[in-house]
Formats: sequence, C-alpha cells, structure tokens
Amino acid sequence: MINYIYAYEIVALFLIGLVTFFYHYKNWLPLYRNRFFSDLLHILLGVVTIELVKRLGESGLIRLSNSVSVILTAFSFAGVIVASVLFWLYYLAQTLSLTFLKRKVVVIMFIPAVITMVAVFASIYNKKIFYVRNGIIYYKENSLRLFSVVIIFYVLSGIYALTKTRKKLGIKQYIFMQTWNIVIICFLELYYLPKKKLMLIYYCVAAVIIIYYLIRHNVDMYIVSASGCFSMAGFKKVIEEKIKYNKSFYCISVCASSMQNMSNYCLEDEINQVHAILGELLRKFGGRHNVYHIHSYEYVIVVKNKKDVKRIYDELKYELPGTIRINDKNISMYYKFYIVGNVDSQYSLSDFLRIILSMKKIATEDSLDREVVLYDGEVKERIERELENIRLIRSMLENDECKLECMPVYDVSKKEVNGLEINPVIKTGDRRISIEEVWEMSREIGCSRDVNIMFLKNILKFTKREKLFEKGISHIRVNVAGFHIVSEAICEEFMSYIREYDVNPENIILEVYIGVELPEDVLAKSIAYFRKYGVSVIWDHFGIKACNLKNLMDMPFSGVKISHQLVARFCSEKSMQLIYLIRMFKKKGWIVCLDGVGCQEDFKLVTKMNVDYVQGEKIIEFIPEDSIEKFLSELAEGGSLNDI
Amino acid sequence: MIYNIHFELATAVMLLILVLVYFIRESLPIRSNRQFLKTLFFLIVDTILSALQCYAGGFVGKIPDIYICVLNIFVYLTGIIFIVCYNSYVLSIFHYKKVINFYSVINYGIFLAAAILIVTSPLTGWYFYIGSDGIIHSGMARNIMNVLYMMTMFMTIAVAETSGKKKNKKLYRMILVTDIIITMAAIADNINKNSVGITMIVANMCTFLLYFSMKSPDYYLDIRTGRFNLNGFMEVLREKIDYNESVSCFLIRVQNYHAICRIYDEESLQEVQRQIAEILYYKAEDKNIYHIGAATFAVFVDSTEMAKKLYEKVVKVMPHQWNVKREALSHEYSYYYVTYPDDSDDAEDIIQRIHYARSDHKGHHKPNELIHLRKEALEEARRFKEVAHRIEEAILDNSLELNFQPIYSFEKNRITSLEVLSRLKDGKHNYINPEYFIHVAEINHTIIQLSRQMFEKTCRFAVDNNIFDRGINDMNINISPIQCQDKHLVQDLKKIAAKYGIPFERFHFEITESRLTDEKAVRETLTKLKENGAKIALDDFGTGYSNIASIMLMPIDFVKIDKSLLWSYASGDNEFLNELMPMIRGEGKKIIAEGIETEEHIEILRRMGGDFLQGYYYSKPLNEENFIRFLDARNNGAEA
Repeated sequence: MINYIYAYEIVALFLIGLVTFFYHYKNWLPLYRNRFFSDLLHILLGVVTIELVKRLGESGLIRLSNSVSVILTAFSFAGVIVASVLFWLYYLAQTLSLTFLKRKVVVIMFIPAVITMVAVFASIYNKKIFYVRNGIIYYKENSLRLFSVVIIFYVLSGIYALTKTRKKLGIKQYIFMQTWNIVIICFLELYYLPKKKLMLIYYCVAAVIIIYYLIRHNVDMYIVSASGCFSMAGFKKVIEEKIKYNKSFYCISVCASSMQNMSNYCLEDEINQVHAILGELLRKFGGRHNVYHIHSYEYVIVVKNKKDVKRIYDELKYELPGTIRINDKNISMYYKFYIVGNVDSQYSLSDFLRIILSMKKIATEDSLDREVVLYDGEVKERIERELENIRLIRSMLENDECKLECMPVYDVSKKEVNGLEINPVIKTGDRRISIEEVWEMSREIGCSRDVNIMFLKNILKFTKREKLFEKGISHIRVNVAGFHIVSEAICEEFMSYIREYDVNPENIILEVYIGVELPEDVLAKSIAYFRKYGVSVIWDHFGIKACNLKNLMDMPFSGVKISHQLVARFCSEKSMQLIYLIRMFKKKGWIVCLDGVGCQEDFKLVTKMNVDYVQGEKIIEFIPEDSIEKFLSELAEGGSLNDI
Repeated sequence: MIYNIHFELATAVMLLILVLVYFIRESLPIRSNRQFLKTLFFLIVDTILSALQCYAGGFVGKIPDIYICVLNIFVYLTGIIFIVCYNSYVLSIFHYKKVINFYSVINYGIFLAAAILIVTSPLTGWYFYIGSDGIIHSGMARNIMNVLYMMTMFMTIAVAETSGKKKNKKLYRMILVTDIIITMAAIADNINKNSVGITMIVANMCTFLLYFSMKSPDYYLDIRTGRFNLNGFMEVLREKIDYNESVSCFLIRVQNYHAICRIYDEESLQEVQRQIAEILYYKAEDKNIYHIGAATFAVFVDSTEMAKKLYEKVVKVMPHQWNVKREALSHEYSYYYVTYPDDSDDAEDIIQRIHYARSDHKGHHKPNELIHLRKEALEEARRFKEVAHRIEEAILDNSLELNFQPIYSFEKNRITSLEVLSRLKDGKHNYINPEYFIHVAEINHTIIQLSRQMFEKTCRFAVDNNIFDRGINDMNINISPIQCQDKHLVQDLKKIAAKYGIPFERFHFEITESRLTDEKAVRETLTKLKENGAKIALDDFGTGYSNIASIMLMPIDFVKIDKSLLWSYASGDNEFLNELMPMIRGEGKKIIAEGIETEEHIEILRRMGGDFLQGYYYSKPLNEENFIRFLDARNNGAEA
C-alpha cells in the first residue's frame, strides 16, 4: 500500500535535488562551509532516495530482495550518521572554528559516529539495530533510540559551536540557525522516539535545506552575472577564511586594461559579452571555483602555490585573445598581470587588499601588455614604502602637526643669511620622505589641501613662536606645489592663515613647485592674487619636471630658484650655462636664487654670477626646529655660517 | 485522492516558506517582483483550496451540494486569477507595456468568459456539475477553457518576448519549458481522469524551478551595506525607462575612494559606507538607496527639482570626517544628477552618464558641487574614448597614415632628413590632433603597437622609394617614453630595420618627455638605441616636460626647439632664446628648430647657430607621393 508519507518524501527529494543541481550549476564559493553544505546535500540526496526506494519496496510497488533491503538500510543509517557529522562540521565552518579539528581532543567527537557506523554495518549480521524479514524492515527500538542520541549529539555540538561564537554571526543569524536546529531536533525526536512515528523528518530537513539555501547559501550575492565569476565580496570572504586558517595562497590578477575605455564605443550588453568570454576563459584555466571578477576590468585567480600561479600566467599570456569580435566590432584587448602571494597568511585581510590595490595601480600604469608584475623585490619595497607614507600622512593629519627644519638662505648683496626656507620633516624610521612625494601621495589620496594647510599652519606657528622676524630674518620661504594654489578658495584660505598668525605677507615667499602641467591662466591668477597682498611667489626647481618655458616665463613670478641638479652640473669656471640662465631671468627682472651649491669654491663662484640668493645643504646645513634659537643667536653674533 | 492532498500540502508548505523568505529578503521595487509575489500567493491559495476540494471529495453525500459548489467556484476562480497573475508576471519581466490590442482582448476575454462560466456553472453546469453520485464532474466548457488557458500562457510569452522591451533569451527559454511542463501535466490529467491530479503539484514544483533559475533577491543586494546594488539599480532604471516613467537619478560619490582604500581598515570603510547610505536614506525620506559602486550611492527621485532639493539637504549633513574605530577618515564628495527624459530619452545614454559619474574620471569638479550630467559634461571623456577606439581600430586594420616633413640642413644646404608623422582620422573622417591621439595612446599603452606600425611603414616607405638615394641621410621618428618600458623595443626595431635592409644608423629617434616618463627606463632604452648606432633627439624642448635637466641627463644628440619659443622670440615676446641656444650648444648638442615659416626665422637660427630647420617654409607634412615629388624637385634644384 502506498503510504501518504511518500508525498512528503517525493517533494523532499525533488527539492533537495533541485537545490543540489542549482547549487552546483550556479557555482559556489570555495569556503569550507560551502563545501560541507555541498557534501551534506549529496549525502541527503542519497539518503532520501534510499528511503524512498525502501518504502516503495516495503509497499510492494517495487520488488527488493531481503539482502538489497538490508544493504539499503545500512547505507541509509550510515548516510544519516555522516550527514550528522557534516552538520556539526558545517557549523564549525560557519563560525570559522575549524581550527578546533587540529586539537587532539577532537578524536572523542568522532568516536560516537565511528561506533554507530560499525554497529550499523555489524547489524547486517547480528541484527542488533535492524533486520529484514519478508521484505519488511524491522528496527530494534532501543538501538534506534541510541542511534537518535548520536545524531542529536552532533546537532547539539553544532548548537554549542554556534553559541560559543554567536557574536561573530550576529544576533539575527544566530537566532535563525538555532531555531532551525531546534526544529530539527523536534522532528528527530518525533521520528525516532514515539511508537507512532511522525515520518516527516526528511521533509523537515528539505525545508531547512531550502531555507538555508535561500538565505545563507544563495550564491547570487557573490556572482557577477556578466562574467559568471565570483565578485569582490566573494573574494574577500575567501581570502578572509584563508587568512583565518593560515593558509598560503597566491593570486594572479588579470587587468583587461583596454576595458576601461570600452563603455563609450560598446553598449552595456556588448561589454557584458566580452566579460562572459573572458570569464569563461579564465575559469577554464583557473578552475571554476577560483576566478573572481573583483573590479570592472580586473579578474583574480586564487591558487594554492607558486607553481600553479606561474603555470596559469604562462597559459593565459598566450591564450587570452588579443581581439574579441562582437556585433561586427573588433575589440582590442590588452592585459596586465600581477602576482601576489600570501605565504602562511603573513598579511591581514586589510593589508592584503591594500597590496592588491597598489599592485593594480602599478600593473595598469607601469607595465606593458601581457607583462607580469610580481610582488617582490623593488615592487614590494615600493608598495611598502607607499603604504608607510600614507600611514605617516594620515597620522600627521590626525595630530595636526609636523616637525620642521630650516634651510638658511644667503643674501648675496647683503652678504648675510637673512632668509629661511622652512620645510616639514617627514620621516619614517631612518627614511626621509621628500615633500614632493608627500604632495603627490596626499593628492592621490585626496587630502592634499588638508596636508598643505597643515604644513602652512605649522610653519606660521613656528615663525610666530620663534619670533623669526625680530631676530634678523627678513623673509621665510614656504614650499607649495602648483596644484595646491590653482583654486581661488585655497589662495584665500592661505591668506586667511597668514593673517590669523599675524605674519606680514611681505616677509613670505611662496616657492611654487610645478611638477605637473597646470591650467596656466588659473595659475597666473593665483600668483597675481598672492602678489597683490604682498606675498612673493617664485618658480621653484627650475629646470626639472614641467617646464613649459614660453608660458611659465610669462607668469607673474617674482623670481626663480634654479634646481640643484642644474647648479651642480653647471657650476664650474669653464661652464657658461649657469651664467646664461641667470642672465635669462635677470633680463625679466626676477630675483634669482641658486639651490644646491655644493662647496666653498662653488659658493664663491656663484656669488660672482649676479644671483640674489644662494643656498645649499652642503654649505649651510638644515637646522632642526628645536635648534633654531641657538642658530639665530649665533647668527646675531656673526658665527654659525661655517667658513662662509 | 488522499495522496493528492498530501502532495499538494507538501508543495504548498514549501511555497509558503518561499513566500516567507521572499518577504524577509528585501526585494527590488519592480513590477515583476510584485507580480511574482501575487502569483505565488494565488498559487498557494489555489493549492490549499484544491487540497480542500480533494478532501471534500472524500465526504460525498455528507456535505451539502451548495458548499461543494461554492468551494469549486472558489477553486476555479482562484485558478484563473492565478493564470492571469502568471501572465502579467511574464509580461512584466519582459517590460511589456500593457495596451489594448488583439492580444489583450483575447487574453482577458477568455478569463472573463471563464469567470462567467464558473460563476454560472451551478445553474448551467457548463463548467462543472454535481453528478447524481454526488461527485463533481467537469463540464464541456471546462475542457475547452483548459485548452484556452494554456493557449493564453503560450500567447503571453510570445507577446512578451517579441513586443517587450527587455530581451532575455535564457529566461524566455526557462518560462517556455515551465509552460510546456505544466501543459503536459494538464494533458496527462485530462487523459487519465481517474488518477491523481498532478497539474497543481507540477505547477508548484515548476515555480521552484523558475525561482531557482532566476536571479534571487540577493543578486540585487549589496552585502556590505544591505542596500540594493548596481544590478538592482540598473534593473529599476531600465524598467522606469522602458515604461516611460519620468525619473531623476541623484548620485553621491566619495572622491579618491580607491586611494582611500589603501589607507583605511576594511571594516572602517564598510562602516562609513553604511553610514553614508543611512544618511542618504534618511534625507531621501525613506526612498530606496542603491550602492552602485564602491564609492557611489544613488537614489531615484521624481524630478530634477527634487534631485536639487535632495542635494541641498544632503550636502549640509554629509560629514567630511568620519570617526570610526579611533580612525579619522577624511572624505570629499561629488554629487551628480541626470533626469530621464529631460536630459536624454535614450536609456544607453543615461546609463553611460551614470557610469561616467561612477568612474575615476579626471574632471575638474569642485568637491561638494552638484554636477548636472549633461552631454557636455561627458564630452571630454567621450572624445578620449572615441580616440582610444580609433587607435585600436588603426592597430587592427593597420590603417595608420604617415606624413613626412622635410628637415633642412644649414651645413649641407639641402633637405637631408625627414620627420615621420602619424595621422589618424575620427569617425567623421576628420584628422585627429596628433598630439591628442598620441597622448591617449600613451595613457592606454597602445602607443607601443601604434609606433611599431609606424616604424614598419616608415621602413617600407624608405625602401619602396629608395629614399636614401634621393638625398635623405636619416629619418626622424618619434618614440614615446612608454615604449621605453618595453625591454624588447630595441631588438624589435632592429629586426624590422634589418628586414628592410636599412642600417640602424639611419634612424634618429625623437623623444618627448611626459609626466608618464620612467626616467630610468627611458635613459636605458635611449642608451641602447645609441649603442646600436641610432641618434637621439629631445623633442619639443621648452614645452611640457622637456626641460633643461633632460638635456644634461639623457644621452641625446639633438635638441629640437619647440616652435612656440621661436615664434615668441621672433615676435619679441621673449628674449631667452639668446641665452638658451648658446647654453644648449655649450652642452655639445645640435639644434633642430621647428616651426620655420619665414625668412626671418631662418635668419634668427643662422645667427644663433641652429643646425637643422623644419617647418612650413620648406614644406608642410606631405603624404608619401607628394613628399617624393617635393624631395626630387627640391634636392635636384639645390644640386643644380
């Protein structure tokens, strides 16, 4: 006779089958919890199928011999035990507690499962748990209770694991999981304990599976539909787990750099088609679980060791298409690669993601088509240096202060030191970071305005505190980058601080470093604005970097500072080059300052060259801010200028 | 029949779970989701009623006929409401805008007729009737209507796919499969009337199949902030545009986000993102917030005015410093808006503008300013991308054009060199400014392929025209600092030159420094080129990044003075050439002057000690044929 329970078991089988199919079809993130869930699905699919076959056999709809029924029953029991153990392991994985398995005590946890398993298979011979007679399966009630105890033991272990780490899960997740655990226990009890059993345990499990799949394991949230690869969120999850369990791994990134510009000449659908092609190809070489589409044009393949990552690079280098044809359009593809390893998880998730971002920047900006950048040697040093610089800038901004040092400037006509170039000292360990580097970095991270204002405030504060202008100093020189002052608002802010600290604008010289090309009309306006209020503005580092002579020579600068590179090169009695340059500026009526004068002889030579100011680290050293008082008092007494 | 009840209850409970999960998960506010929920609801009700119907079948004679009739009317009516909902759902996922047409008349006509038949059935017995045995039997009309129901399902999917605005072949196939399965189940039921009714159970299971094969609500959720993501945003936007609903999209973007990511802790960034979304949600008066990029959030409002109002509200409260986990995170924001259909009635255009706002573009936007994403705002980016595309096409089609400009030697008093110049046309067949496309090619690194093509074409030109027998000693060809990063460059160029049998000494490479210059790589490559016999010229001296330090530090033989310096000198705007020229000569470099257009220019260079002259005075850049003609005429004339 057909039992009504079949309806529920058939539905359960159908749904578990459906979930298993879609779970694999849609792919799943290579996380332990997903692996255990997948195994659980397979085991349950097997168990429910066996149960259904057994029932059909019992009802006479199909004919099963006694021995087949016995084997099916044994496998069904064994399957349930394995599922229980997986259920516990699944909870350990959910709570990132799998390290527990490394302890010796864990052996105890497996003993009940092993004993029950042995008992189940032994029951084929000794009939202690079940036996079959005339196609009907009979169970020993007491043994069956013991069996249910073992299952509940693992469910309770899972509950304990969840409770222990409930804070990691969040209260909603915790309550959700625990509720379903209780439901499962209730159905288990109703299945194994009463004489009139409620046979809906598999139906209940299917319901739990559906809910877990819909809420916890639905992979859609980690999939980028265009490429079919996992998203950045999935990548972070996987990396987080690997780092948690101290696993070594390597990432090879493929930046399809040409895709950055694709959105104008390709429709969204066409771009998606390109992604689909790329995604498929990358999964072919990297494995379907290992490819992540982490940015609009960047893919990452995560593998276990260096050998694999190199093999993948060698393959991809030749296999990735140079042209993709879509809707009668030839789309050129350029690829940049980089490889980053995290051996024994030496980097935390945040650090690793920072490295990834830095590597991407280097690969896309500095490498060529199909070249690979390795996180090693110079690149590693560069990134570490950059990250260190960023941290330093951030900490300076947070504290709103920086150390300063002063470079005395020698006035050739008055034959005295009466100016100070005041610079922030930016140091990390023994390494000193140049101000240009700080500007560039702060610009990149979007705080160049804040950094520069902070420098200016500190310099003005220092000037006021040390009463520089009352101690023989006629002017101070403050460095700024051109891009700092190409905004009226910033110029106004500069002036407001100069007023706030009560410094006479005429005593300030802004040295403008033009490292990049700038909108010249705006720059000219800004220079004119400062000059209107009495602040002198000079062109710093003449001769290097951006040097649009025609336009910059027409700027309303008050003067120029010739770069130390030119001075060092041209400073000799035989060379006329420096004289030509000085003459060029003097004709414009500009004040000329020479930077980087290296020795006494050179100093004597340049003072004869019709320059206004001279400075050089080697002849007059930088003075730390805490020594300025001493320097000024020595200066007043006519000393401290070495042999000049 | 008892098994039917259990099957139906088993699937109904599971469907109920699906509905509950659907309620718990936040669903995208689109028509198809609303329709799906309605369809699910009626399916469950119908399933339960169907189970009741079966159950009642077991109590023949014990329940009054009137109750049986009412129950059946409800079962059948719910059934047709379910099919109507299902059809509407199919139409909505393909963004089909309902209009009164042949399809709708037929479709709704059938259901209206069915409803009338069902309600009047206790009187007419056409749809169902209670037999003398007390059992419900199907009337003739029911069988006919069943066929018509199936027909409407297939007709709906055909109409939705052909006339709907959204195209999705995968989904179309899936719905088609589902419809076929349900139809087959219905046919099976009709053929075998006494067995267990399976249509309802199959429909329920197909619902699961359909649900699992579709994108789940999670696909549209951003797990970092719990808001909808870009997929959701696009889905809503496309639906609004497809249904011609006026909508304004307001966007807020954290500037320099990728750089910021290198500084701060992952959790802190996540927390900040959550808080930005929270503020926006609060200020947008509980409208849905979309997190459409790592640093970009969007809200749909009804009009441009509302977008502006929202900006006013948000800009006042958006903090520039976040204090999270003892870290102070500094942020600047950009605000954008674009309105459909006021700004554009093309969905792709609107989407492109939104992508522009999301991307790391180099706009000169002031922080905290509201930027209207007009067409002009994107013009620069559009131009850049178009040129990038043209370059890629030229690389693929080998369609880069070359022009040649003669270079005159003071010493030899004739044309001794030529400069190879590349030319590229845009979509309207106008020439693109070479400086601009070279700049684009440098940024995209396509300059490497472009230059290789140029070099090979130059060699072919030289060989085809026996250029060195016509008085040309060497050819000046441009090289980009980006190319210098290519370790194989020198070998590749030598190979190409050897292929055409041209000595490498015949080539003068002109380098223009730029911001992208990797000084070390440039120096190494130039040194290698020199070691192999080529000569190097520093191009465009006095502009951009070609500076005095380059003359000293790079292994160059020639300095090419930019024309702007010569012209301004000639017009009396500057005098510094008087000092620069002797300075360069003092460094032992030969001088090439560009932009020679008058005799006065030649005189200036003669006086100052220039070595080579190039400019329109001699000739503008010419194509291959004209250049050869010019060269023959000029050099033969000079010799004569």
